[in-house]
Amino acid sequence: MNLTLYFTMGYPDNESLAMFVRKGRDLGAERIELGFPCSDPRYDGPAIKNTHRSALLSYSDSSAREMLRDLSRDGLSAYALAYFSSISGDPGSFLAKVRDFGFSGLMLPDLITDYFHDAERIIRNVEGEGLEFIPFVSQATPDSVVRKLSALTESWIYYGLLPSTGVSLPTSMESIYLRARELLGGREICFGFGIRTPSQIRELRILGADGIAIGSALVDYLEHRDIPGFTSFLEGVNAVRN
Amino acid sequence: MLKYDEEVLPTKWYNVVPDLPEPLPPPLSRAQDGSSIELLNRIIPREILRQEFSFNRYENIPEEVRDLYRLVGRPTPLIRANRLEEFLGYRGKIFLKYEGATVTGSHKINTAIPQAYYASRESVTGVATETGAGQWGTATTLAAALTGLHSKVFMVRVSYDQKPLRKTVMALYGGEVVASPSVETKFGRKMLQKDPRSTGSLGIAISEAVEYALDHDMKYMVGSVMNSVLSHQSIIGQETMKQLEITGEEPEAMIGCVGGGSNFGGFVFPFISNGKIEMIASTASEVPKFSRGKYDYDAMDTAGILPYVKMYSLGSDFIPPPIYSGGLRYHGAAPSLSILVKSGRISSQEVEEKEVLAALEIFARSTGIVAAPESGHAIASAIRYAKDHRHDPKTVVLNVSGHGNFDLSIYGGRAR
Ligand SMILES: Cc1ncc(COP(=O)(O)O)c(C=O)c1O
Repeated sequence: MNLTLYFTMGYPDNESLAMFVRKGRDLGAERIELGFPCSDPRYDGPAIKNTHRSALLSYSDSSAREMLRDLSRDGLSAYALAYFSSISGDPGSFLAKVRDFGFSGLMLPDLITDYFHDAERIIRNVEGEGLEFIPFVSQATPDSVVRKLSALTESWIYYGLLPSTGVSLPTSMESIYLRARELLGGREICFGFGIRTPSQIRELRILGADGIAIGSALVDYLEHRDIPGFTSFLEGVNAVRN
Repeated sequence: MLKYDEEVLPTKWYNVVPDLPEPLPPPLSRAQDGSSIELLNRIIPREILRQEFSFNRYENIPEEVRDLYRLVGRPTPLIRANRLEEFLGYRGKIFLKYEGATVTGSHKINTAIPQAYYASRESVTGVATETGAGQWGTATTLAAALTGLHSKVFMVRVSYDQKPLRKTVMALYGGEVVASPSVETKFGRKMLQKDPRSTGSLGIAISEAVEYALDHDMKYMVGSVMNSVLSHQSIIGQETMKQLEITGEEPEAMIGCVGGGSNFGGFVFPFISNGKIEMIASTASEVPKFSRGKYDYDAMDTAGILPYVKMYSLGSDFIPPPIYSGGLRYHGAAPSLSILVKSGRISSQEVEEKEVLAALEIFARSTGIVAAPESGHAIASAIRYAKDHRHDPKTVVLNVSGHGNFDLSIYGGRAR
């Protein structure tokens, strides 16, 4: 089961983030997902919202570009995440920037909920820039929309387990997994939102998930620049995912 | 158990979200610290919360809950309103699904039972909720009594004064009822300070009930709007479907009234994939949520403790005129229903109180049913529909969400 780590660019500061990303790579993460900080990350939970607030002050294009250059030298795939609401003014130059930085693909968490009728056109624009478009779906995505998104794209798919990142709510992983699998067939599905414990990861692995994404659970280590804590957390994750 | 009843009473709840034309926008937390989504863990029973955010097309109804459904009078009847057809000179057919036949007098018991049932399986002292017309409060107090829980009800001041007998019934079921705004919560006291003579609103009463539940280690019972509630109400539509099938009828138009959208959603959603059926949501002209409301994120309660949801709304601080239909005075409409109205799949219309009264009178004389004033909106819309389709007769199915036996003062000046 592969591992995607989510970080907000610029948090806690550019140098520390680069260190965490490198450490994550050394510990075997297959993908790095990097969020462009924005002022209204509405679908994120409190932990990630805080990273955006703080990163807005420290983010810079030049250090992001540099970090990406490092990552691609090592052959690690990096995916950008951005709220469409924050780039809708000039999506063209944003897409060009994402491509120039060397990202493999792009994820827009608010696209199909808030810009449903424009979504198909925007997905084509993203792919037109040579970027993979990573559909973001959840249990609240109707079946017909999941099918349409999966027909429109060829990449892996990000499946949100909860209505927001970093919150905890009662769920039945098994029924979520079975429904996702039934709709998406053999497509690679990466599950995220609210994953933080070994038992959740074990359950997803046993069910047959292709990947997991972890974000909110890393924020504490980032905030305290706690590399040893981060390392032992990821070692714990590796012990159950492999 | 009669064979017919067993065949008609559903074994699953249906959730419309997988069959919507567009994604359901997630709830938002506007809390300064923490998350109002996570806060739900403290006030909503676990199983209800799981259902709320699972969006499985079907959920099994526990056998204990089906037993309670039978106890309170399910399945409810589907009746051919042939005298109403005659009175209107309508050559089509009018069927009515009568939710007033449950022991508490409305559809509200359909969700009160599972919510109280799941709450009773956790260690809580009781349940708290709000009520407008009193139908939801009545359902809550009975469901609590049947599952061994204490209940506390915040009743919107204007209804509290208009409908004293509702209080008596709730007390008979063992519930504790206070007028809202009340002095029992911080939010109620704040509202009273602003306006000591406030007639209240559902939004204020919800805020009080949520605050009270949080402070007293109780569970909060959700009367409408939320996805899980509309799912529980789907037994109305599923029963109707089975009953029509047994009768050999194909519905062509379905009509119901909308407060938060739960009786309407529960009634029509199971039919949503049948594109041939016209669906009409009837609202109060005095609370014009679909025509004047904005489709955007708004608070479900006036205090904004609960998560924000994307819906048609007149604003969570909207204080409606004191129309008799307390249940239709809510500022918003369920997110799933809002999407379907926005997309045009469901149409909406508005009816004024005067037309409602006339419709209720016609209805009483042709069916014998003293319907709830909320349901009177659906009845008025059905009468309009029959008039508009005089030359194009259709099979119309109307949901009568409740009886109006406690609302008789509405006829005060009129009955001759
Ligand atoms: C009899 C009756 N009908 C309709 C409603 C409106 O609520 P909803 O739209 O959720 O069914 C109420 C609410 O109190 C009611 O009591």
